[in-house]
Amino acid sequence: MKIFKSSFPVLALLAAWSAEAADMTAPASRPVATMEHAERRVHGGEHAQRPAAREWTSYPLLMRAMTKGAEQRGAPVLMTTKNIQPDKYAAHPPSGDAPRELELTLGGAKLEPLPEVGNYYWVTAREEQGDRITVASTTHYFSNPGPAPTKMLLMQKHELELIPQPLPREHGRYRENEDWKFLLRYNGQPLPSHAVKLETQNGSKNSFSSDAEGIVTVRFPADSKPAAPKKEGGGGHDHGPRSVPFVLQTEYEVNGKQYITAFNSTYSADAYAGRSLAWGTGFTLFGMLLASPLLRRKQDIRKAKAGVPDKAQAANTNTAKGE
Amino acid sequence: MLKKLFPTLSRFRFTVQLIMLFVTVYGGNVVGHYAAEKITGSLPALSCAYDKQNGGYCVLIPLQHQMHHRIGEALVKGQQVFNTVVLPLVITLASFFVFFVFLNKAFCGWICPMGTVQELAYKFGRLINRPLHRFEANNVGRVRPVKWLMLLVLVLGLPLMAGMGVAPDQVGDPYCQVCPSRIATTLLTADTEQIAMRTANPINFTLAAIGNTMFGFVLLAAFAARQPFCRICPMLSLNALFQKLSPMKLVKVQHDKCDKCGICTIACPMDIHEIWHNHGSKAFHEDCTMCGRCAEYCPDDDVIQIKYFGVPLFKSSREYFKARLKLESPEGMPKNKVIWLKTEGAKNG
Repeated sequence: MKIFKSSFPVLALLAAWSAEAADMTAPASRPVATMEHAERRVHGGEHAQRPAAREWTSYPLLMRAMTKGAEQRGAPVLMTTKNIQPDKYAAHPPSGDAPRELELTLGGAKLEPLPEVGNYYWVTAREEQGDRITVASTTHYFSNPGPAPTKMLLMQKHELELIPQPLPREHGRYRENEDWKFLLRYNGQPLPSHAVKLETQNGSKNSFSSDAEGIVTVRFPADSKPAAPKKEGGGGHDHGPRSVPFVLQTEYEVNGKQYITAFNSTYSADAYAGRSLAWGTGFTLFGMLLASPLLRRKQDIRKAKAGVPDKAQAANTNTAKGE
Repeated sequence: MLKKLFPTLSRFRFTVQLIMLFVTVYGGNVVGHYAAEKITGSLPALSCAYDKQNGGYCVLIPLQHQMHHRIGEALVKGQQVFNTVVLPLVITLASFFVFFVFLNKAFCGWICPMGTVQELAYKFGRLINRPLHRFEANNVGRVRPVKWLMLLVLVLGLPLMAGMGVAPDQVGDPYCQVCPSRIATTLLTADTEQIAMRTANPINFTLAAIGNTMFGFVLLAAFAARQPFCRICPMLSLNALFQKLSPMKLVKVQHDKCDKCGICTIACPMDIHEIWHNHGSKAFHEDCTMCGRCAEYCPDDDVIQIKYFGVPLFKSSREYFKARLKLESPEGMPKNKVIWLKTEGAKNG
């Protein structure tokens, strides 16, 4: 374990070098320790990442590394961290089976999907320094048939945990102005009336408190900035405005030990960003207007034209009777 | 007991439709939140994934995604053909077919939430005494090819072209963008996001304008026409591709009285004249939604039957026909409002 830990700075340097090679637009002088990633949602919890300009949080982060071929569906991904020096990385499959320790490579910890295991993987990086235990967590989505992640989320993975209840499903995501619930627990038991802090790459900072059942309801702030126009073609996927990283973090001290846990993912613009309810209602009404002549009876039309009342209301259809 | 609860096939079907409307629109609250917990990811009915509470996903979603992301992209890259192209497509179509083989096109007539919404609108139209517009034998053929165009262009063609990079990315899921079920089912969950139009770029705006206009048109037209959207629905054509492979079949035998009758066509919500004029496999038309109304309103014993592996599940009978007429006319007018439409046979004779 110590060999792993002592070799980490070297691996991190090599990872940073490979990331630089993959992205020539990144500033050459960007320090390894402050390398950040803006993330664009691809599907579920799957993210592609880009270098960003400045550090936005001091909380532990666990992210996908920028590597060549990272966009390929179902391909293994490399995970890297920030603000934490992990002893080990682990991935919990959605089936709820035992976690796998991730192999460390030059670019980061290698996360590979297992066939028929499912879409969502819960990935953690854990650091133990004396009485201080820090865990960074995130999810990664592989397009991979298999069981739902309910069991994976419910099983205890570390002492102090922030568990999404539920995760955004396929075609869903965390979004501005939406409330999402997270379960805060210690040793598998809900932790009531405890503060949880939220920080976003757009600069928002909020604090929330867990209720009696340990549930923290997080409202994602409306702090998005205008997105750069997307390039046309190439078979990508347009999911609207760029997703923004966020991190939820909390601390708990018990028996002289300090536990820190964080969950990071991304959220995107408000559900109605880039949409217009007025236009939508207008075109719907336009469609109704087009259909409205169908609702008029022929005798009603004749009556309107003649300007006389028609007493033949007993007829029920436009077409002739013919039994 | 069952006969008291469901005196007619239509009553039984309507009950199933209401249950399935709940399952397809709100069922996620029962079966589970995640995709893996849904009834299926390839349901042969318009159960919309944009509805956050639904109980199953429409097969048209994975089909568009696979055309866009797998086949189109792989054709360009020319690699990993089997694992990334053939296998996912086969899995989608196989899971679709596993469901389809049990009910055939009854997914349209019994399960589809959009079909149920249109039927409810039509029933309401009868209550408020709106007219009935229908297609005759000489003009129904004009609308029938549209469903194939919808399947080929919107579900398969444009997503494939977007995946290959020769069409804009915004047309990666064009059918979903115009599907009225997306708007109808999300509105049923009090979610107005989908009726709000995308305005970010002209392509999204145009597709959304078409979708919203069509939704408004279909919703109101259904008061005075039966199943207006079903006639052009790509799910109808996709299901038609497989209808001969299912053991569930609509069967009609030749009968001397058929030429002078034609009530089956009057009863048919899809205006299928072939059920009147043809028999054998030709009577089971590609537009059939297996609602069973033709069998209910056939006045002769055993002429029209719904069979499963050759075993009749329902068959026409004179006694049932008489009882059925006391409740509702073939064109769907409730009791005490029975006015029959003029049939071609009646016109000629």
